[in-house]
Amino acid sequence: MYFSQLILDPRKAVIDGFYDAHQALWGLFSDSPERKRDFLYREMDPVTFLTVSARPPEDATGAWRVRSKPYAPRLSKGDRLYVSLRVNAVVKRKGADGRQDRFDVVQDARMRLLAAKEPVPPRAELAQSEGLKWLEKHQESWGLVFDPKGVNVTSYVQHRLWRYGSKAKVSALDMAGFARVTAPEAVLRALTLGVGPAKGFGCGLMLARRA
Amino acid sequence: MSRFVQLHILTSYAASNLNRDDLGAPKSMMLGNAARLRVSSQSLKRAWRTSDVFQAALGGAHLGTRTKELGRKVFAALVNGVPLAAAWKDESAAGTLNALKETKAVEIARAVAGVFGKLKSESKADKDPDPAKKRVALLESLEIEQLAHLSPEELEEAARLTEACRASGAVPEKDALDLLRHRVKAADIAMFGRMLAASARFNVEAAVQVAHALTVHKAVAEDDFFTAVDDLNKDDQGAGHMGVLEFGAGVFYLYVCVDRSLLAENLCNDAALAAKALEALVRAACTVAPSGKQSSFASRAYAFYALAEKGDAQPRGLSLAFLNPVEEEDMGLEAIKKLESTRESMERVYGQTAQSECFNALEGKGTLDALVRFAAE
Repeated sequence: MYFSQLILDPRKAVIDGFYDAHQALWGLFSDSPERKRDFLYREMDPVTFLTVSARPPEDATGAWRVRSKPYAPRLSKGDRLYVSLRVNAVVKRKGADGRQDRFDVVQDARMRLLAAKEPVPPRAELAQSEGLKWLEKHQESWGLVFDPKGVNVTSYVQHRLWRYGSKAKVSALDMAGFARVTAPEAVLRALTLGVGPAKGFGCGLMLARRA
Repeated sequence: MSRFVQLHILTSYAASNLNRDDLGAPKSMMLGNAARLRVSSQSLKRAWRTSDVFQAALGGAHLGTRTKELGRKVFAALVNGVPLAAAWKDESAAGTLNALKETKAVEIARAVAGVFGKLKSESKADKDPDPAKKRVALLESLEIEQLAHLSPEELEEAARLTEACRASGAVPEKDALDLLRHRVKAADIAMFGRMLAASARFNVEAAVQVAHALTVHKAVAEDDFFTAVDDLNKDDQGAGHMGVLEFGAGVFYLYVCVDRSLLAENLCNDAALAAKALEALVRAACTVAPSGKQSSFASRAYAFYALAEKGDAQPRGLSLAFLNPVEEEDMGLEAIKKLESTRESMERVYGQTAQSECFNALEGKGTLDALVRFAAE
């Protein structure tokens, strides 16, 4: 696998006639239009992306500054990591029409409280408590145990993104915290395949470093 | 007496998320082309105002009350036959004083509370068949739209006026209402000011200006994860760096400027009270942290360095010292060095020599008590 930092030069991008960094990013990894997504990405700022991919990115346009490293984390049980995530945290439930639907955990908690006529705390507070719950529900499958006191949900944002010419809305929680490795194989899977839905929209790339 | 007291304070907060924006991220801003973490002045002032330090120094007698509920309390006092103070503690308390009719009590309550701000519109739930709902709607209609900051004297005067109305059964006239606001001696109102939307002439201009606290160094960029890949690809050989900076840890610079003559004026020229207020302010600024996310981070910290300056010259902050972010390993000492050398250069250029006093907890020099005395005398 490869871990890359990609920085778009906006001037060159404009000259080359593409305006949307996300679209341009897909260009680095798709050798043909039919190519399925085989990379994960995280937007760090409007022109900087981090990616994990099976193939190294190839920039035919010259608009990107590409730095790439082989990515082969060597983890053992008990290692301590600092993990940063942007996730589309959802619960799957049957909607009113009987079809299975995905509900964003913050909105879901708000709806539940509103329906029960209970006081609704601010979104930032719900994001912290619901985000942590979501994390605790999924951490085992990633081979990690987070320290609940050291998890911080830093933002809850509705991202509006263009893809295939249509607008999509994805709510993303940014969270970060300290975790201990319990199953190295599972962590490796989570690091390279990503976690949660909306990976095509920049969610699910698990960033980690030793702590 | 020199007119201005300026405080320059450095505090190091460990993993924390002191002051979040509406999305929960630590507040930040750019300075000298580098991102910094920021703690807003509103959040600092609130933390000081509600701190034990303020309570202990200024007590109930010299701290204001922020409330929307004056009207409903006056109403409750009148219809339940209890003094205002008792109604303040418990709206449903019943007493033996003369109880007024509700319609009259509403008029009086609206007149008294209306002095401090626009009231919500009159209750439209009169015809609600459910008496409990009707009552709730009535009480809510007696609230002031925005929080009003009332001094202890004003609350006392409101209590006196309530009793006068109880006795006369009449709605107070304009002159009686004007009596409500005079000699304000609430130290927090004198320091941080107040705005009363309903009557601008009773606004109080803040004597204490507080800048947003900023980190003296860059806020950590998340793309450090790219560098960290090298550590991940190796077997664990002990921890790299702790990564705590993501939680908003950092060394913050805070600037506070006090206009002492305005402070004294706001306190009806009570010099002793002004000194007491200033003491409480300096103590709080050095020891009280904003309360965001304390439960997860316990990010309480004292200032490790504080410098107080006294003089009549136009005040100036020293954030200039950190225009170039501190990058040295020893951030605390380096921040002090930069602050002090910037101050010296400024004084040289502008030909000023302000009196000053400081403490430095990294080297164990000076004391908070000495700083407080210097600022207040």
